[in-house]
Amino acid sequence: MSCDKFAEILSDYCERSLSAKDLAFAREHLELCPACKADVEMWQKLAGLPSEQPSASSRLRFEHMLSAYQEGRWEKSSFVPEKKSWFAAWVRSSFSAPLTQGAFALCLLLVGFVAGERLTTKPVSTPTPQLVAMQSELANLRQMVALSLLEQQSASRRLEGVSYSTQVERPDPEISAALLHALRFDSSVDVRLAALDALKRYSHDPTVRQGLLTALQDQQSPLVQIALIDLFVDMRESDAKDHLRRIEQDAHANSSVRQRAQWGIQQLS
Amino acid sequence: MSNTLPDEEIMLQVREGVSEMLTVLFDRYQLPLFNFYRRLTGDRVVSEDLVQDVFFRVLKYRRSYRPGTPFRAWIYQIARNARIDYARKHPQSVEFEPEMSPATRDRDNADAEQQTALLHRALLQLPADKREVLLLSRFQEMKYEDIARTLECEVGTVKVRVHRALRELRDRFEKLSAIKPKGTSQTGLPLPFPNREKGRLQ
Repeated sequence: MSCDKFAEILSDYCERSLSAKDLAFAREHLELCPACKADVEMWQKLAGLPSEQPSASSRLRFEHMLSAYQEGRWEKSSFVPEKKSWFAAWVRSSFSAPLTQGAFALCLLLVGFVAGERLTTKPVSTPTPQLVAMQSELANLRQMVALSLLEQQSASRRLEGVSYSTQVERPDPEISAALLHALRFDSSVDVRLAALDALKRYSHDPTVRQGLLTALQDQQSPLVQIALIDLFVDMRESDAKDHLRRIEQDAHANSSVRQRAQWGIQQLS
Repeated sequence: MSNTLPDEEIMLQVREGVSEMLTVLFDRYQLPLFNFYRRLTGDRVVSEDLVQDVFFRVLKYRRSYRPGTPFRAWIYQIARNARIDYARKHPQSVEFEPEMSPATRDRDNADAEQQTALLHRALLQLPADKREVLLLSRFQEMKYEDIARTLECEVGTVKVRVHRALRELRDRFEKLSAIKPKGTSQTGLPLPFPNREKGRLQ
């Protein structure tokens, strides 16, 4: 069997759907031809490419398209991307994501808020129930936007999320948990450092303090390790001393981190 | 149960105006189409947009579906046209950026992930037509006859193209594996644990 002939049955060979006769020929050829053998290995290696799941919004978009069709609103531009200009592209990309829609709703709410305060004829001395409800809704929207940004694939968007989380006025356990998760597991050192900064306002929370201690054990980046040590000193976190001692005594740890740990132990003693 | 019907019968119902049956086809094909585009373009957002475009086109061109046509070959022909139209409107090719390494993970898993990332990179370095034929034959559960119908060529041509694409992929993968720039792992990607290089701050 020649290489050309084997090329014709390559996928059938790999999928084990060859006849006994062809299979015997294929095996015989593979023993003699390292190039075709390597092709087979490459074919099998391709199976290692992971399968990904589309986002949940994908199905919603499809349903929106289908219902638009069924209701006679057959307008492609309303659900299928059609980038005609940079402006249209920007509008489409900016307002198609639920996250940005949330941010847009937030802006509208803010505009309404300011306009309402300016246009009102009677000065409001005490917050009305409506005002309290709006403030609460505003806080919820900010929280939603921050949490959504923290889940983005792009590191810059996650950084935005961390920055946005600081605008959530009331300390929120969901936000602090998301920040702790970013501190421990985010792939970007910048995001981890930003998350650490944002967590400072939660440092009175025992759960966050414990989370910070755990993060120190996991941390691989010396920059983040040093920032954590500094924070423990600021917080006067005496429970950190044991962790710092372990780092100080770890011969494999970065020398700058070990020095900082030593300094931290002195400060906390 | 309608969702046990073959794709072809469901498509015939869609063709005759039972548009809600398209949901069954969406459930069957959303994932393979998304991953087809994901591997073809390297971009999640573009891939999701293209999947939407495919189902829009299925509805729009439902009357062009002929009884007896294998649905899988037909929908991938639509998918191919959607991708070609997209590439025409957006001539700048999508650059693939492998995901950054997680902060902490097991060393063996890290190596395996980097091999996969390298393979993905090699795949994205292939010319689009070679990448396409390789993905259709490897992942989309399509027979050579269906691929030939999708690409509008002879079965023999498909076999030759698949083989050439596979061999080029292998060459590129081997070249990428051989590259070992400073500060990178054996696979050519950034080291997952930078602080193991003593004294180096990340």
